[in-house]
Amino acid sequence: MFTRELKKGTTPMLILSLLEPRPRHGYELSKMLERRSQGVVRVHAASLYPLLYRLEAGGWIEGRWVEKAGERRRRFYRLTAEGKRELEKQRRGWAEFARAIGRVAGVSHA
Amino acid sequence: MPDWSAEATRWLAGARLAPADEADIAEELAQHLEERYQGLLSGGVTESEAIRLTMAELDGERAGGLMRDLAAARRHPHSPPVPLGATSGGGRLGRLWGDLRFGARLLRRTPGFTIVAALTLALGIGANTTIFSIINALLLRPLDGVARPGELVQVGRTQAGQGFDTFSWPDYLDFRDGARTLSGVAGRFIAPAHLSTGGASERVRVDLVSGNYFQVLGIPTGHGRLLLPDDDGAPGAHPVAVLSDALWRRRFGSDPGVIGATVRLNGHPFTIIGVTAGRFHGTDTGGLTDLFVPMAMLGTLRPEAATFLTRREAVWLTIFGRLAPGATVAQAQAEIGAIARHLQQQFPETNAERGVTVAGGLGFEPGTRGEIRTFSGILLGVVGLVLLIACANVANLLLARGAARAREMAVRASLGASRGRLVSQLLAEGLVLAALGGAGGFVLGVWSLRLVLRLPVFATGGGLTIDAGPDPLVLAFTAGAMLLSGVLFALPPAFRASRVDLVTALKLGAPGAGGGRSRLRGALVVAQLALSLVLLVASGLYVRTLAALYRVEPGFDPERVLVATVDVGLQGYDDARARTFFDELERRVAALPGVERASLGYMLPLGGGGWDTRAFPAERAAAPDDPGIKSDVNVVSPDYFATVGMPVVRGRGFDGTDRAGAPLVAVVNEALAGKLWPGADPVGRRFRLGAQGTEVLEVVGVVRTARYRSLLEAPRSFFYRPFAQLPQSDMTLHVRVGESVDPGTFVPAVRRVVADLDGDLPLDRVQTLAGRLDRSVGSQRTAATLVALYGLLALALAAVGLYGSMAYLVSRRTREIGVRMALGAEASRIRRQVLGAALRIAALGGVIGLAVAVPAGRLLRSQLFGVTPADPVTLVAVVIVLGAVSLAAAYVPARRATRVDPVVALQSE
Repeated sequence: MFTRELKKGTTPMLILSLLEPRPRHGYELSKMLERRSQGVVRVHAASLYPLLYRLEAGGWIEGRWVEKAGERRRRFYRLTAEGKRELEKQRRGWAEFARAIGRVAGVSHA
Repeated sequence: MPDWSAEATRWLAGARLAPADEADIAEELAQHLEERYQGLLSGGVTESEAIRLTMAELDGERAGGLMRDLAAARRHPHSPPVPLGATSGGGRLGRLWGDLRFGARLLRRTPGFTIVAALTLALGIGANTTIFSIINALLLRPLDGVARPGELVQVGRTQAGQGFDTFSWPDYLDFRDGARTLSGVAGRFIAPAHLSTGGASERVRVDLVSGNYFQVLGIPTGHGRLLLPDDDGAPGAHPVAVLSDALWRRRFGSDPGVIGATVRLNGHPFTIIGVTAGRFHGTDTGGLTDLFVPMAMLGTLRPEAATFLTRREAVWLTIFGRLAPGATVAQAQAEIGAIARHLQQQFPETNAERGVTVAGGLGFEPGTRGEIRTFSGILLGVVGLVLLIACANVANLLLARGAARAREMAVRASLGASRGRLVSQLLAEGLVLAALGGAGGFVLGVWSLRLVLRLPVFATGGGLTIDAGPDPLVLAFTAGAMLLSGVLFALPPAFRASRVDLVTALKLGAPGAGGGRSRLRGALVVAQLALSLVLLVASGLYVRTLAALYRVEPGFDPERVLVATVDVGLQGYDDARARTFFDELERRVAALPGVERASLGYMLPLGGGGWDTRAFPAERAAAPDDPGIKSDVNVVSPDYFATVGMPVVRGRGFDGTDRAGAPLVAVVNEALAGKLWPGADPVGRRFRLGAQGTEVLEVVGVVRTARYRSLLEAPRSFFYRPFAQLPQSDMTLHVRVGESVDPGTFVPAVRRVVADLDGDLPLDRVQTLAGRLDRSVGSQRTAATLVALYGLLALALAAVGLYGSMAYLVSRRTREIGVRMALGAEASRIRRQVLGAALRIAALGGVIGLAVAVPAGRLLRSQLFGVTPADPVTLVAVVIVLGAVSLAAAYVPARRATRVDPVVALQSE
């Protein structure tokens, strides 16, 4: 069960990690979220783009229109140095948190 | 295939983005939708199903809120992603802006909470705005229209080092010509006069002023010209007048052609030479001057004072000056003091012991300013407490809300938001709330100011006519109160809420989480109770003072008596003519149908002032250092005692035999008789006025001691002399009317009688004696009413707050109560326990409150009348009221808790 609050809180970190290896565009991000979470995390366009713009405004990601020959232009998002630091921080926070949950609630995490 | 680009644009329309942004986003969104659509189709979904699923992308949860996010994020490209605990990105200012917007959004989502909290704050801030507006007008705002008011000083006469009083004209000239530390010294004398222009006539306030008056004050000219030193030349030589802007508008319809016109003051022609500019209305904060006339016209307006300009013993002139560049008040004090000492040596018979005090500022004399400052301080303290209570209420509300948002905080903290970040976010939310409260408070404050200004002391004729409209300083004060209260009520809950314990908080609201929070709430309840108790005690003391003020026996019967003053001196009557006039006036008014009696008295009862003399028993010579008995005197006609309902308890009142030329007689009050001849019958005894005085009066009667100058005075020695033996030019007509008649209805008839006798004589200070008595305690009543009202406001706020906090404390135990009920506990026993716990908290607050209230009450001592600061009745009443409120606040939720089905209670997690 993935509550709304939890989703709202975690999606930004998920997006940052998806952008870590390479820049991606919005649709790709939504597909990957769904696929990697095996359908648990579904983010509608109505939620995704505002979130992307907020992350961008916060200086964690950068959006750029990229034109490739033979294709129409697309907007790709790239993780910034700032974003990398933030992602590391959030990861540490989550790891700590998850360990704490594990210790207290006896939930083991994979 | 649907037109996804059009869909995206339509969807974005609500966000009202900049066109360039909108095009970009629409393009990106359209691509997304199209790919989604194509993806679904290639996955084997039917076309209609694909369209439905694609469209669903756009109505994600809370699409409306996200639209706003979107709009906000795009419109302010540098603002941070607020819901996350960002530690970087965007400037400090941008982050604050983002926090504020996020706070506003959250508040909009809970309108009930927002309205209650903002209203509570508005009440507290509004009370402060009202009181500050009054203080601003009375103490802070410089006199309207005066140039560089900071340089102005007032000069007061001391007698044997005491007081702050008026000077003689010759003294003034010596100061004016001798002072180097003052660039100018001016004087003024208030001479109410009768203004007639053609038909209409009215009584106006004329200030007779030295020729340099306007120059010293630096008043700009509105029309024509203002007075110059040359206008103040030989006595009576320049009958000219300057109008105040207000009189010019009211009486002359703002007609610039009035310059050069002639008006009559007390029947004498004066030429209008100019109008002051703007709102200048003289040098008194609490009074409005209508006309300014050169001092040299004193003898024309006041024939009896004609010789004052040459007599050094007559002290009547109010003096002020402007500091020379670089000079200080202390230097001026030293210099003027030296001149005064020189005058003491030069004129020992008039100037012995005459000194000076130089004080900064103009508007009120220093003593009055001090009193106003004291009371202002008390009022500010009271409304400050009201605001504190309001803040405590809001803090409580925020704490309850904080409990509900514990999980949100935990999630944010787990995402890396620092504590400082969370605190600043919550503070921003508090600031938004404070801004709402501040705006509401300003409106409320300005509105209630209008009500407050209707209280007796501020009403026309009540002594303080002020223009207390809101100005930038008031606005700044309100903003300050708003910011301070925002920090006060938001900081503790913010720190509490941000102290997230991830483990417990994320266990999704485990019971027992936030034990510290309930301790904080308990502390808030105790503080609220203590503050309310302090305020209620103050309020109670003022209510008791008010009641005592109404219980005071004035010593005469003020009902059914009309008084009105006539000053025949204004028309230049001599003694003989004055006596004839007043005898005739008394006779004619007494003959009016419905009038029981009419008589004359020199002193208006409870007028604040008095005419004092020193009385010495005539049977022995006074010792050289004997100060005699300080006593007030009044001059009355024979029917006076019967008219005002003052029984003669021994001997007789005055009658027709007490004529001019007959032996001088007096009626004394019991206080004077007891001091002059302790234990002896005073009737038939004689006393002298002044140690070496030649006037010796024989006592013919004794009346009871009454209240003379003010209702609150200590028993005062007093005696009366017959009008026939000591005629005065201004006498007050006292008219007692028949049973069940309103004395006010006799005003036109009395006016007619006066007009028949002399058409040019104005009737002044027309009022009922009962109304006068009410007004004489106007300032005390105003004070008491204000404090009592704000005390009630505090009680209402505190009661609501207490109820909320108590109810919350009890509701937190719902589950525990459910368990115990399920285990068979009796409801009544549980209720008793809950109530007991609540009362323990209430008792703690009460004890702390009392410990503060009793010493704080002593600060009010000078303001109280007929009640001590530690008045047991007040204390007990306040404790009972607060106890009852606390009990009710605990009982209702306790009862509800015990009625809950245990199953439901247990499921409450």
